Amino acid sequence: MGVLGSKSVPDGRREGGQMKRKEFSRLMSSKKLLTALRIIMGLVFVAASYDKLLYPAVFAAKAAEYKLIPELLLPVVAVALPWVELFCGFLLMLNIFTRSTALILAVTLAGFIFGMAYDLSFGLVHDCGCFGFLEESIGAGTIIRDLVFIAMLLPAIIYGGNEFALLPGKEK
Amino acid sequence: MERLVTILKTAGISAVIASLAFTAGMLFNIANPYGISIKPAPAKIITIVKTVEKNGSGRLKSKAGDCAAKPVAAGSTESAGSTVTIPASGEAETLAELSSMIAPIPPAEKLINLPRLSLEKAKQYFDSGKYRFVDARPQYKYIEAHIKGAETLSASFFNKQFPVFKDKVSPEEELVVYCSSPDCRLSEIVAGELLDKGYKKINIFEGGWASWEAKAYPMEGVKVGR
Repeated sequence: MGVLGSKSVPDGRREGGQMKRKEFSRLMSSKKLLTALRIIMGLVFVAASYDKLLYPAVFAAKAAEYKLIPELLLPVVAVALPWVELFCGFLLMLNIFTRSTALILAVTLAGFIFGMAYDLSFGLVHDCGCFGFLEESIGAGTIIRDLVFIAMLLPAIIYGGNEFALLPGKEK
Repeated sequence: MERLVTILKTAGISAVIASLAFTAGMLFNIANPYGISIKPAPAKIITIVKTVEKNGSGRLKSKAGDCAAKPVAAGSTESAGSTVTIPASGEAETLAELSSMIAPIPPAEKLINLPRLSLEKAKQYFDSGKYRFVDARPQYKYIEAHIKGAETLSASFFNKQFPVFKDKVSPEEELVVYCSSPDCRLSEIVAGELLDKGYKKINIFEGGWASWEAKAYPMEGVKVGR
């Protein structure tokens, strides 16, 4: 009995764990959740690109505060990055190449997080340059927010489709 | 194998999307009235000469504020390139010491005698046309909006911007330095640096940008009149 009991409990736990993982996976890949996350993140990035896109000089000056960006690349970053955000934001909302666009945005966010952490490690606090209309300084809050954004993009990277499929959504 | 193909496909599509966005950005920049030059501005070498000396014990010897105030002054040279060098004679021993040398320290004592201007006085000086206004706020704030005709000389990029500033503004000119509000200290930091560079006729506009903007006095910048 004891032997049987000690065998059956771990099996049960393993099965329970697998069930939970399957349940979590099913939840994360659900069409409704993916559609909601795509639209929210798409809107966030389109909104983030607006000010930077119109006033690249302002964004270049903000980006210059990030010590990680080489001076030579600043104008290119200031001109191209808002368009990457705008393109990917729209594509994400329209469910076109979802996985790739979510990946680009997650990498961009990771770059921002790294840049902020690097500057904060030297005690440098400056404007985030994340949303032109917010005028916020870098800090724990902005880093956590970007981490949350990455977490919100992960389901699209893992379970999103990667086809030229216009609305309605065609997630896997 | 299938997973590898998926990863490669995702990466490939990502590269194509990023390239398209990059191209769109470049084309839009040409049409955008607020577009910027992609070609980086010719950088100037700022060579720091003899900012720090070692005393007998081998420790660094420097006066507070001296290093912050004189990184470019003595023997500075300008030519093509963008390196900042510190000669062996004045080597900092640790990164922390180097940072403390470069960090701007407000030289409060020498600022006591500088005239402080109220908003009305600053406006009078502005209207006279004899005074050059200097914006000590971060550069992006200057680009967004500033007092009409003001020059940018932000505290955080002083050493980078000063070579351009000194070509435009002679040390004989009357200056009015301002920052965001009466609480901000950036105008004092910049005024202290300018004093050390030989600019003697310096006034500090205490109300700063906030009071000027509140009265809607003459201003310019990419976000003015939006």
